[in-house]
Amino acid sequence: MRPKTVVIAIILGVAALAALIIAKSLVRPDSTTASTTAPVVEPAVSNPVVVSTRPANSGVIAMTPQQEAAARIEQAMDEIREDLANNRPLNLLGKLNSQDQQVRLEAVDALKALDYTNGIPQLVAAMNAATDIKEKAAIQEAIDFLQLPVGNPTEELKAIQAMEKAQLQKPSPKPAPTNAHGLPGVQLPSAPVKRQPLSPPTPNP
Amino acid sequence: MRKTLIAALVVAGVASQAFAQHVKEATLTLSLTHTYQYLVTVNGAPAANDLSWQALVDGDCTDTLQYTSKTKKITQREVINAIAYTLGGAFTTKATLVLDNYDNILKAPPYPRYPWWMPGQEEGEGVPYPVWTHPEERVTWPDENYIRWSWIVWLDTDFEYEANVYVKDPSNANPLWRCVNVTPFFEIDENYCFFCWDTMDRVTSGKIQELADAPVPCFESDSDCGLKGSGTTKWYWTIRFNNTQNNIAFYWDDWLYYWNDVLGFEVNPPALAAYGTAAQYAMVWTIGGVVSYSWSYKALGSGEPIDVLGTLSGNVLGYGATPFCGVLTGSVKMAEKIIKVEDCCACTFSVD
Repeated sequence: MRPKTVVIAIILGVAALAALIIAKSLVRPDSTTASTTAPVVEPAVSNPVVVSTRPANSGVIAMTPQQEAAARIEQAMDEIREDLANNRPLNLLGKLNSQDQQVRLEAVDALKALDYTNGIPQLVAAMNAATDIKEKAAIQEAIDFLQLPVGNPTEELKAIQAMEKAQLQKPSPKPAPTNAHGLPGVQLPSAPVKRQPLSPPTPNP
Repeated sequence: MRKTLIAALVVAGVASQAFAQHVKEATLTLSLTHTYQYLVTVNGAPAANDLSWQALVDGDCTDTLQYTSKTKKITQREVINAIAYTLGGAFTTKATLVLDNYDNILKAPPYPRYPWWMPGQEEGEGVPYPVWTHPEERVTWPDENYIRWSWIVWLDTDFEYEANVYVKDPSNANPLWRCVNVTPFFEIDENYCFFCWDTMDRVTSGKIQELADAPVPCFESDSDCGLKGSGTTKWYWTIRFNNTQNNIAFYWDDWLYYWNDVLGFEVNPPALAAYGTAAQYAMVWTIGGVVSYSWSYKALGSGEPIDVLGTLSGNVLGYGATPFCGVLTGSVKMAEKIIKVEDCCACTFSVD
């Protein structure tokens, strides 16, 4: 193809594109004219969705109360995960007063996991404040665990040594009486039991 | 071989985090109640090991056996103390147990961990299929009914570890004891039935969605797509712990070299249960139960890849000696957190 033909084809193409853009701008509704037209009346909503009252420029998309609660719980659960992973029991104590039961229970569980015995008074208060029987039981279980003793190696060593001593001092075992099955406690009969003689076989008719 | 081991451990820990400024790490907590047989007495005196019942059959009709049980709690603190005793060192009360490198390469919680050396799992081969649906080679899991997180693989003269467990103690006066690899004290398994499909042992309720223009990049920096998702995944988890002379790891030169020569400990494990040296510090137990892992994808940092973040928790049952034999009930938790690379035990693990 000759260069001259190519240049003409490009010019025609650009011109056609420009014409299309101009035509489109002419048919686009003008915002000023639109504002003078009668507004469309939305039908009344019988059950209006309550949306967040956050300011429009906050960048937060409006949420239903359920969505807000879910987001709030998710954030609190994330914080509990971080506090548990980073061994921050004091932060967890604050979650015991959360308005969400799921959050409160997760905080109780995390305090138990961190073995935070200093938090027992706050857990008792949370248990007293709880109205749900299952929540009360969960908190009680955590308190019970925190109150459990830990092992005492010194005391356990003494017990082990006492057993070792008994083991060393044990007399040579005398053979215990056993029964025919080798089980203890049942005396073997001193004399063989007399068996009843078998009946003679009945002859076939 | 020692240097190869250390190097391999370093590589394993760092490989997936090469370009990230942040990584994730999990803190393991245990809330166990141990009810154990503390004492058996015959007429008030401690019974020897095998003579308590003998007293009743001696025929004098005057003996009394008394069985005494006790209950105590076992938490991560007691476990760390048991480790410290075996290593011949000391950790502060701030020390924690942390895990790393336990996810699969997909970082998809609906699927379990699998060894890196299985077909299609190597770095650079793209996102692999889970091994059990690999089109060319159906792999029988090496441990039959266990998917071992802390799997140890022997490759000729070398071996490799999967998940690692550390005692992390940032405020320890001895800088060498701030991150101590204690993986051989533990064995961590997922249990599955042989005929399971696709997700193996795991059961998930959740959703993973691929996004063309996700706000956070995908796992691989050169990927155009991103992911968002969350869910709850359940599986049957077993953890075993053994700090006694019966743990074969305490006879491996590599680990003794690492603990004794590199970190300056003096490994001296206690005897198993009663009737042995330092038996009061012996701790051997097995716990298992259904755990539930609540997870979601989160960015590790601004402009960094996403990772799976969540909390694993569950009730467990078990048995063991701490040092007296008994039964265990309780719960476990594994809470994940995002940390800087320089604070990551696996990332800083080095003989240097």
